[in-house]
Amino acid sequence: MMGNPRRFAALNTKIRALRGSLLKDSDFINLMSKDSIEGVALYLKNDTNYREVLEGTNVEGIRRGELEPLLKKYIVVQFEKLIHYFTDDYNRLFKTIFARFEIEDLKIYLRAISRGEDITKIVDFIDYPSKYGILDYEVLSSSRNIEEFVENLKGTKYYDVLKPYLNEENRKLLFYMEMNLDRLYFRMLKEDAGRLEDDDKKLFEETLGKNIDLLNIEWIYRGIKYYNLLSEELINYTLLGGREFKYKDVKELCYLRDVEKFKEAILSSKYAFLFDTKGDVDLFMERRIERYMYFEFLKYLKMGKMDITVSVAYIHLLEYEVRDLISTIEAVRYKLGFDEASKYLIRRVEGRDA
Amino acid sequence: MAVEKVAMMNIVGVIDDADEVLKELTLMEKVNLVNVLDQVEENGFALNAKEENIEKAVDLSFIGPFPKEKRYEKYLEKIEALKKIFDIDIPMNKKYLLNSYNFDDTGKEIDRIYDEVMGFYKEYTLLKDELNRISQFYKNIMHIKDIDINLGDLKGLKYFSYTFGILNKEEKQRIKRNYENILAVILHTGSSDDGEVYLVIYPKELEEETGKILRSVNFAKIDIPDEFTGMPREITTKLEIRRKNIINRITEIEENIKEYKAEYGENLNCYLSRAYMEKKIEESKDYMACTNNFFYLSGWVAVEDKKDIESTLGKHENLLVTFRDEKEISKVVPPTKLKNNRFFKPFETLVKMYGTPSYRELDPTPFLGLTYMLLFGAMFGDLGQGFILLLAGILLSRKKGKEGFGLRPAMQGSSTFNKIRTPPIRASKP
Repeated sequence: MMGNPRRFAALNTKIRALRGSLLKDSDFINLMSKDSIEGVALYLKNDTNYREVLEGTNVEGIRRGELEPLLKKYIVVQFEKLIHYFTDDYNRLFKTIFARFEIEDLKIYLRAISRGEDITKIVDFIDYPSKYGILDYEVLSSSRNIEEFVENLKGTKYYDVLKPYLNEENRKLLFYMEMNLDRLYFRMLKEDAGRLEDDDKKLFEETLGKNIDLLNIEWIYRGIKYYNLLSEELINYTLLGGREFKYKDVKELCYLRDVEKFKEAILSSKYAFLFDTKGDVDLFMERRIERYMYFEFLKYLKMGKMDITVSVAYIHLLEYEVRDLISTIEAVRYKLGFDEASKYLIRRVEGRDA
Repeated sequence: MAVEKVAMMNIVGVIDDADEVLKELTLMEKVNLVNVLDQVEENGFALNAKEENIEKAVDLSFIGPFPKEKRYEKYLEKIEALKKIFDIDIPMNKKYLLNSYNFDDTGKEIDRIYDEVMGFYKEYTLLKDELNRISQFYKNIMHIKDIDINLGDLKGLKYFSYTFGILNKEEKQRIKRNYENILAVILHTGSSDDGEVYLVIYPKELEEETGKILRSVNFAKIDIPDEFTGMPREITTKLEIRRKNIINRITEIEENIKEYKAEYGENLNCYLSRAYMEKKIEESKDYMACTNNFFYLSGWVAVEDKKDIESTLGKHENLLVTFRDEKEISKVVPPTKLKNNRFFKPFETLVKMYGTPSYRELDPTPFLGLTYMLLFGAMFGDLGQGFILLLAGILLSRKKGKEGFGLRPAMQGSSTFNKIRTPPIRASKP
């Protein structure tokens, strides 16, 4: 048994150093003022810690498909600096957190397939050295349809959760599959969290609980509003272990059936911010959830306690940062302009909000 | 120790002899075919205006490409299929080609054996499939073998459907907590290696809804084909019997296959060789041309092989074989055939690696052979290393045959040899 102060002293010192290299709001303001992807890459290479992965790359005329894998590689590089500090169950938990990237990749594939796009090129966007992963991107990219795609996942934990939905009508298929992938991820997280030492377990489950609340709300909302899922079905898909919404509350939400009543219920809860807006609720729902979690993690990072919260927070902030960078690249490419583009970022830049 | 001298050979013969002539030339492995039409254009077929040649010369004006026939493909496929069934590996063997034979007869034999074997082999594959299905299903039915319910009765229900399946604990709990909203009876019927087994009975009208709910709790359905009715225990007995019967029949067929293999294994080897020869002959025809009565063929041969070829082809009457000096040929560049003694022969591989010299150039093999050996020795100047490389070379040449590896022992020997004469630098360091 290793006491928490000892376990986390070295790690948190390391993270404090890494924290300094997280991008600041001013970086994003600068990045959005660029008029080309090359400009973005150049800034990242010269003025930020991303030089770690951009060094040796000629950014002249760089394309999105070349830059994005490097950004994702950056996460892997940072991750590898930390993973050695973890042992046993902590190590396992952080590897599971890493599985999230794989799941996000699978979603990219699934969306592209359901839109009938050519997926052979996707591999260029996501093929970064993922030695903690189990996916063979070359094989996946060779799939010609969703059946083949799922078949190519055979032998992985993803196969069993996707296979039953192959017969689903096309309109709902994506919702079911994405929901089940997320469900799998959170189930694995919960399982791993259960093995942590008591204090850490409590802390981790607290964060996890909030995340689970938000995901349940999102699924039930979409399930009722767009996909007309049975209440009996919905309740089975929700995750257990929420912080504000226990099983009974979730069940009530599932059986509301009416979108307006559902909104009212959420508006009177801690998560009112999801609907309490004049902006577009549906378009930004996922971003709102992420922004909420972003501030949660930021808070943990700033508190800097000698427990698991700092490292969990750092890993997630790093992920959000890269996702914001990818959104920024898109915004620069389509010349969205600062006000429009910042709405799509997880972080809130200069106190603006959508 | 040079590039071998070659000459252009032109042949005109009666079209019926074409296959036999080609077979003989192929077996000799001494001719490098070129497109005959180039030779015709170059007037390479300027035939002596003897009376016996007049017909051949006149026909030359109606010359055209050889008709293609690919019947060998079908036979090769059939032989491959038979090889797989018999589970034998038969190499091509020249001895089956030396005597003259009629490939039409060979083809008929292949067809006959193939049809006979396929007759029972099809049944064999069908039975194997069924056996697989039964094994799978047997596993399923074992999950519910202790249930005292007649499946026929369940099937006979007018307003209800049913399904068997496996649920894990957590998901079972979910169903239980929402039982008041689910319109189905869910009965625990037993345990299996994969989890707890449940029987779900629900109104037929709610087929779709029930399906969705079960899917949301990862209900692993146990498939039971419609033809099985009665108590699960009876079904398992029926399956056992069917399985035994299938296995017996399969053994019978396997015996049959063995008999055929013993009887025809050798023949297949012969037919395979002949089919490959047929393929080779057809491929050669790409280079040839013909008229209604005659065929025309051109190819490079080594000057020293001329006599051999003439004597082999001599037995065909009415076959005109002429040779022209390579200097008279302008359209085609003569091929390079390296000619070296036994000592330098292995180094030809090395020369070819860098590029074969053209016909009119010098053969650098002896020069390269000597210098390469010395330089390699200087590069790998260590007795121990040289010895290990020598061993590796010997092993490789044993394993892979002479092709390409005949060179290694010579080279590795060289480094060992060099070392004996110079002090071992590395060994003297601390």
